[in-house]
Amino acid sequence: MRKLIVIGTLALAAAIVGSLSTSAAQGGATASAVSCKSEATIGYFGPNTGPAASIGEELRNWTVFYARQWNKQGKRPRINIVEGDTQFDPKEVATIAQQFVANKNLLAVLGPGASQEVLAAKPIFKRAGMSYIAASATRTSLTDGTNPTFFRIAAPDGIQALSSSRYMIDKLKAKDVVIIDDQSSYSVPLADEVQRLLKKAKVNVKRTSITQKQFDFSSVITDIPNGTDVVYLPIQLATQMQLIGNQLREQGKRITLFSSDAGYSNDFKITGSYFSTFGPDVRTFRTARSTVSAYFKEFGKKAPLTTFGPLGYITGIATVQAVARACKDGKATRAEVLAQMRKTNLKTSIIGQPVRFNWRGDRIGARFFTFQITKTGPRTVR
Amino acid sequence: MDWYKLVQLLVNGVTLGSIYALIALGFTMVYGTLKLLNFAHGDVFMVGAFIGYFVLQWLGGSAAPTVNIVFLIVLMFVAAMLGCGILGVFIERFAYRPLRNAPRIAPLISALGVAFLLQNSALLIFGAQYRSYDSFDLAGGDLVVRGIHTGPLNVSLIRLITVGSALVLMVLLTLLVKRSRLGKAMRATAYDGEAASMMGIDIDRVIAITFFIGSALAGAAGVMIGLLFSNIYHFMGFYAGLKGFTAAVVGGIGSIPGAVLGGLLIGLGEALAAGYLPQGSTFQDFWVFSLLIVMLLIRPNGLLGKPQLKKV
Repeated sequence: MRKLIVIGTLALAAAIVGSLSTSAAQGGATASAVSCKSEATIGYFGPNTGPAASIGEELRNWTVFYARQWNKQGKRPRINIVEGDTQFDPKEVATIAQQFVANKNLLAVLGPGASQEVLAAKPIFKRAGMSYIAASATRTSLTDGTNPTFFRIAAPDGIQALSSSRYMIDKLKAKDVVIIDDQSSYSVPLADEVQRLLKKAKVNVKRTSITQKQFDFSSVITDIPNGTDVVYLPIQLATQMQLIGNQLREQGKRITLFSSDAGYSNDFKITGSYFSTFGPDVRTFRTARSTVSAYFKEFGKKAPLTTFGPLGYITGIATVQAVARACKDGKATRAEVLAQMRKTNLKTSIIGQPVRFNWRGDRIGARFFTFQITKTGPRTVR
Repeated sequence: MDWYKLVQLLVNGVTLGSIYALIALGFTMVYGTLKLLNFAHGDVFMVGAFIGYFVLQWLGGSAAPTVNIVFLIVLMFVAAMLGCGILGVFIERFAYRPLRNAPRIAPLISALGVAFLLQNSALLIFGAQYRSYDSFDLAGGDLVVRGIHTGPLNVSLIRLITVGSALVLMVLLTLLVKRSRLGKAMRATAYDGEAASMMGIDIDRVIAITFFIGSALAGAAGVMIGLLFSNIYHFMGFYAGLKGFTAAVVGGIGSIPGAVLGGLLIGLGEALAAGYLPQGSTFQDFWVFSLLIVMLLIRPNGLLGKPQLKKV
């Protein structure tokens, strides 16, 4: 019996050592250089389906668009993109991130889309030294210095909170505001910061929350006092914003809605509402015209275009060019690509701004824009 | 006391409760006849919501329907009820009937399997994105803006339609079970299947019809959710099913009036918790399931459930 226990213990120890060495080998894939003279592989993942699919489709199109243009122009190395669908679910994010890390040919990653997705990918990419860049993840703490392989194009929520609260105070003259968060890791810190700034400006703030799985908000809306000036919605699902707006109307409450960056969506169309977002409307930029028309030619006339996509396009440019620079000698490591990402220096971009990153991975000079939804579509108001 | 708020919360609660009651009725009917917890029932409800959605899209969508609005809504209900009814019969025939004489854990596992099968099939076929009925655009918004708006009472037409149709379905079901030959056969099968069979009742047929009716009610509830709250998705059946099941247990599983009472209690509980308790909206599920636990501690057979007598 004792012999059996000893053998069993030894077998267990061997299995643990084996599994540790396997995971070390997977993480170690970063160290070895891969050939990328003719072709380099990068990953893309985002919420292609799921509750944020309307944004996911646009993000995906625009993010892979630059690589397609690059390949069509016959530039080297040819970029091969391995894709994954996060379904807006952190569990899926972790699985796909593991797959990316395990693929030894994969040099860098485009995506994911949202803050909670970045949080799910963070430990995996950090361990593997994998560079990854998000277009639209805005949670301030994502670039607190503990996420050294991460970059983003959108401005952090600290800036969004400041911009949104200033607009509510200065332009909308709000005295009573109700804030509804959706309990996600994106929503709560943003709501907290806006609440702090509004209270500092002596605005009465009432706070409540919903969940992303909730389908009825009528009782939450009943609880909103009648004299409220603004309902602020730092939530991620535009379908929920739309339902809140409709249910306010159903209960005869005419209150201005102000949403955060997910508000730029075909799913949110309450006329007179506002949203803040991290990019301008590129359709108004003469310099972006040729890229925008090329995009519609590539993905069809009805392909979505809000402020999300162009930021995704910039992630594509930064990553593909970093990979190309790292692959100049015909081979590259993930560490080399990461170093090249840090050196990104685009004089201008589709959003009319230069692109450089600070040491934390934030884009220098990134800001937020405010839009109002009109009958003809969103209009920039600040 | 803010009467406006109280009245409005009661309206919200009754509307939501009517939907939970319809779902609970399916649970309770199946449990009554087969002593089976049909965990796939919530997902049948989800399928009903999708059928209603596709009928709506097929007939032009909310903004520009190609047929009369009343006809459109009736058609959505009929299609969803028929579709879900047939699906329910199919599930019973292939997932539960072969296990009717197996140990009770086997059909329970089979029910969970069917639930996951339906969820994942919906994910595969319809995708994971949210779909919207855009019901606030129906009839130029009249369904939302019109209704009863007197003093604190603020009930939109869409809520009146929902509660009214739920009430009609519940009354019809009660009449069917209490007054018809089929209802008598259902009650006999529920009381003692073997004896009913010896009396010449085709219990396979009765059970199939029970599944048809229960699932059809879930289909109707699915359309109601879509019309009231617009957004539907493949995983919606899990939460709604859980609430429906809770309602059935609170009311006394196996009891039809109990299911209705349980549904209304859960709906009202959610609404009042969201309106009056601190962080009520955040923790409304906490309050609902606390109610379930307390109820089971006080009355293990539910509010209107009868204690099971065992021959000793």
